[in-house]
Amino acid sequence: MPEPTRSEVLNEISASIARLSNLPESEITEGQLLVVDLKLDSLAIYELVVDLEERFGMQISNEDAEGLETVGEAVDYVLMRLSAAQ
Amino acid sequence: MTMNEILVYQSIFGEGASEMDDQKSHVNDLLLEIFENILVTEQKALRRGSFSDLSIAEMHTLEGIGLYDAHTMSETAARLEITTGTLTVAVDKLVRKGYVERLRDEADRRIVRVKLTRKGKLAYRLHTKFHTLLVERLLLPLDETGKKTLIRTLETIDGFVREQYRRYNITED
Repeated sequence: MPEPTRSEVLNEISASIARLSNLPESEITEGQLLVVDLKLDSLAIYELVVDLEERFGMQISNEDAEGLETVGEAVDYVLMRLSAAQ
Repeated sequence: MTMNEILVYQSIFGEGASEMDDQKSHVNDLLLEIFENILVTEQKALRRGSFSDLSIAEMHTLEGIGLYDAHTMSETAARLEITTGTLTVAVDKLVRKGYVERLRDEADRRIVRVKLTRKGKLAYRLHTKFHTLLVERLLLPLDETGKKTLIRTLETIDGFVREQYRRYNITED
């Protein structure tokens, strides 16, 4: 299966965050902070993590999840993990 | 403590175990308080959170099942050091509450595996975070030497308690 592009990963993450935060997907940008700007609490962050695990077939530790501060960092993380698995 | 309990206690810990000076008594109180308070705090944290229908025992069953694996009932029971009968009762309740699912093994339909659902995974992760925060707070005021001393002390306590646990189990058998 071809590796997803940055924009495909961003779309997946934005869709998940939109569902969790009740914000329109179009308002979610890479620079936004997950906790401060998007008001995601611990449970919502873990919901996002489980979405990413299911969508991209990877295992993400709590420690890694807590290190993700912005939407862009989450995108970078998924791309890095996918690339390392190739 | 009854006389019989004192005799059992002394057979495990040695004579003189029931006589405590102030320092030993303080250590004893601290150990009991820490053990009790961690359990009570875990339970209270669960009750106030998003998974208030879970007991601590059920949360520990989720931990025994594991975040990603789909182990058989007997493997999971062994990991939790309980009987498969006890695990079956616990899993039945967790399935009803939506935290666990049973899966038939693809290769051998007689084998049943247990796995966390999405809800189970979320509860597991939040509970792990609770423990992580607890340890972080505990280590926060300590420098590297203090951390190493704490770890060494805890390892000694753990080794000692495990040894008593084994002896107690043999006595029971």
